[in-house]
Amino acid sequence: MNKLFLLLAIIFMSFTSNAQTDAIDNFFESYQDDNDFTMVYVSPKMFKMVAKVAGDELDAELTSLVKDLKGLKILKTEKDARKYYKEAVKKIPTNEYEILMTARDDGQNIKILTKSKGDDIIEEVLLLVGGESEFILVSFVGNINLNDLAKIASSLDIEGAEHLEKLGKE
Amino acid sequence: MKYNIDNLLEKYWNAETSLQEETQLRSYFSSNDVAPEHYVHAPLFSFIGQQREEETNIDIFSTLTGIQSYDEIDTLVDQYLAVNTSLNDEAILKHYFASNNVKTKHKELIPLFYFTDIASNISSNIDIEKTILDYNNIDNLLDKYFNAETSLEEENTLKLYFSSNNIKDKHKTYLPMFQFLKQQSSVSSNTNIAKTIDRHDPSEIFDKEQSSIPVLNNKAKVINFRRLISALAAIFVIGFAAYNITKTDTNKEPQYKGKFVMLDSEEETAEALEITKQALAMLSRRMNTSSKTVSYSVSKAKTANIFR
Repeated sequence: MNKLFLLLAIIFMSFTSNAQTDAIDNFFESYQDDNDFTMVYVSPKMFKMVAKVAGDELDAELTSLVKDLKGLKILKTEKDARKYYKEAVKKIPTNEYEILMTARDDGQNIKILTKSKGDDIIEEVLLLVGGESEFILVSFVGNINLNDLAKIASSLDIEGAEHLEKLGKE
Repeated sequence: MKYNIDNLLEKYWNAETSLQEETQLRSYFSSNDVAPEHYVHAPLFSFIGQQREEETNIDIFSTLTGIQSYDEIDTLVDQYLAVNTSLNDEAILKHYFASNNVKTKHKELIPLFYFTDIASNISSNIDIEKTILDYNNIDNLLDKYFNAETSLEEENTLKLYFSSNNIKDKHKTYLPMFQFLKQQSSVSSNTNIAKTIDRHDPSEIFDKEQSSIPVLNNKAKVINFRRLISALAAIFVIGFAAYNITKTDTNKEPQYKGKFVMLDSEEETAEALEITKQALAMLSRRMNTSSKTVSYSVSKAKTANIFR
């Protein structure tokens, strides 16, 4: 148990020292020890292992998306959701992230932002959801193909998923 | 001689004489060999002599006894002879007769007071000697004391001896030690409950009980604290074991709520895949809530090749 904690601490320290210590990283870090927050972190090392097994369990689009991912961080809380949503929005450095979309759905504010390298390669996608009952912040790190992302929406058969594809056919 | 006195007088008028020289002058003028040419100054010095005498008399009696005049001594002596004086009055009388300013009319009484003074000293000596036997015995007791063989009674005798005023010179080296022990015993007796219980009667113990209660309470607290620690340790061990057991359970059915979970070991691959899938699905679903979209970055979407 102690070894595990030590290992976690060392890995996390190496992660923090290697990663760009930007505002979003800081935001995640500042709440990782807070009991009101749920945080899940999937490391780059894990994504290498996931990529090996992904092809056996997932369809082609999802597999290709997963293979391009290098990191995933999810932060969620059900306490003071609006407050934390506003705080997160304020902390996003607008010079690094571009807003892909802003939406309001069922009393939930939704923001999707991207961080790009050059014109075509997206390094990170941020998803912010802030409503009355929950605040979610998800960071996808990796070269994410938004086209593939639109496709998985249809494959997962979610209401309104075709809308993007229709737009795409236009 | 004359010449010398002349010199001294000159110095005296110039206020240059030492105290010694002034007494020399005074003794000269109070003697019977005053040279005729110095007679002029004799009244001055005899006056100074009188003044000094009066001053010293007033000093002694006003500061030490509060008695202003010799008439009061007369009345005190009368009272004393009539066995009617207080201890304080007798002390005043003793002091007066032991001083050098006894009036001639009282001088016949000096032997009486001198005798009482000696007698009081003698009686006090006898008292002490009665209690501590003799000085040879003190030597013996000291030997025993340093061999740690004395009884409590014998130690008390030693203490009494060293607190008295009749310590032999050869014993004076031990005096500081016994004074120190006396001080220490008076200090510790305030706090030592056992001693107070030994020495005092039950009613006093009852009074002391109030002060002894907090001490006992402190002991009780210490014991409780130890028990608390052992109890906490036991709870911690049990809790730790329980946590490990439940943790292996949660590996099968993970619950992330309120936790910081880091997925990076091989056994967690399936879990990581599932979470990634859910996260991607969530992102995709949010992206497709476009019917209620407030704004949409078209240029961004184009560069992302969505619409080609």
